Amino acid sequence: MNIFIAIIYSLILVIQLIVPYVSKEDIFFGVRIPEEAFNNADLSKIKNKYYILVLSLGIPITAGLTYITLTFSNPILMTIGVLALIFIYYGIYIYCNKRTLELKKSMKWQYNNKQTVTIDTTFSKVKNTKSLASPWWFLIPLAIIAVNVLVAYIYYPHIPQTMVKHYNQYGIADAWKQKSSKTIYDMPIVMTILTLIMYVAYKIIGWSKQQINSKNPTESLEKNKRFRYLCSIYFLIISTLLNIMFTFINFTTIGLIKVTSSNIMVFPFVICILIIVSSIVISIYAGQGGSKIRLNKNSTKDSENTDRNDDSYWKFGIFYVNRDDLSLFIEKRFGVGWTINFGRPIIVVFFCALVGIILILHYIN
Amino acid sequence: MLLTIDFESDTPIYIQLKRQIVKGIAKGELVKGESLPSVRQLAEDIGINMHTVNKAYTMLKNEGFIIMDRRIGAVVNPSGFSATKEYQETLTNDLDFIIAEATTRNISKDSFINICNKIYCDYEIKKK
Repeated sequence: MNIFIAIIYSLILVIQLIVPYVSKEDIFFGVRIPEEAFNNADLSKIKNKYYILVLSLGIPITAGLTYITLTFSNPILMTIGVLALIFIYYGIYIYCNKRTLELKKSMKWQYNNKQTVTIDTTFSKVKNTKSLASPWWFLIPLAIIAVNVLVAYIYYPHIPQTMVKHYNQYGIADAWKQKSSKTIYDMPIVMTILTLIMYVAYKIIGWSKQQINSKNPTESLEKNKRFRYLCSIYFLIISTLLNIMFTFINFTTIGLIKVTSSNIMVFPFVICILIIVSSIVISIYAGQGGSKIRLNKNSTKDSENTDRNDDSYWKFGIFYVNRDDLSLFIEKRFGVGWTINFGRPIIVVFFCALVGIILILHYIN
Repeated sequence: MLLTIDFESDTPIYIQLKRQIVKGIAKGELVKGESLPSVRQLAEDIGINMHTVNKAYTMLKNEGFIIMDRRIGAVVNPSGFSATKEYQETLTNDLDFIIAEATTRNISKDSFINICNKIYCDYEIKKK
């Protein structure tokens, strides 16, 4: 048990360390840097400072959190610990973001190349069909849910009268509920909501704004398409893995599978670690927006253009706020994936609703 | 087709859009009957106001380059493009100004025609 928890917190540390590597080539800590400044010594200093800070603060915090999680069964303490972790990691990033902005300002780096925005007119046609893995694959996680519903129904007489409602991190039950024709479907309901959330995330890839590098648009377009396809497959796989994990927990709860309490957390932890590790692997392979993907074809010539200097919309290098931009979902500057345009009120509502659903899910159980 | 918009340029964005679409048609990157992104989609992708895209599309429609199909949206005119009398007048006027400036800067007729030839050739090659 100890080792799993230590591994998960360590993986979060690893994710922080790879952030500069997976970011787009011209983005340093959320700041767009012109090409001639890529090898600037002061910029490298900021990068090194980032690694030093992440390691020197991250390692003790990871150790501390592991200790807290193992010693205390207090979920509030754990939540505070995780929040502290998030604040510290983001704090380091924001600090580097500020330093990079100051450097850019003081060096007055000029954009010698023309600042442009390049788009592909066929992108919006293709993106909804072939650029993502087929949505029919979602039938697999749905089938798993159906199996759970069926099993709960058929196995009902054998289900213990008092069912476990919650296991703590040691695999020891600490909350129970009464069996009824309603409560046996609690887990399948949770699984359905989760699968729905993953499906929406999958659709968001298709809805997100196309962002092509003006320097080499043909290459950038191809890389971006592959990246989106890869991410869609990843969401499908997570959805399936999560449902398998919950199936295991569900079958244990209804007594179909009998596992000793010391072994009960092994399978869920393994799945969690699998999910986190695969996200790290994909991030390192593809890079944000597909920037690190290697194309086999002959590369097309670079144009004289460069992308627009739009730092002003990125608050702290993390939040994109642009009221004039119609798009709702946009590629992150911090890490791999997408974020929302906080300048559009409707999407902030959507975001809050999502958080709300998760909270409701927690209190149902 | 790839569209590039220069936000710092003196040329207004709707003119840049219009020119690039016409160029795309000339190069064969946009074919007759091909659908263009909707006003909203294009505005979203580039990051500009829908009015700007609308202005460009309206100009293109008035000049016969695109038609607005109620179901599909903006489509490159499937019936092709003709040189209306209006267009020939505009062409002559525009060239008048260009040639006027060229002659004041001592560009010979041959040089000018060479430049024209090169540009025509480029478009012919790209169309194949």
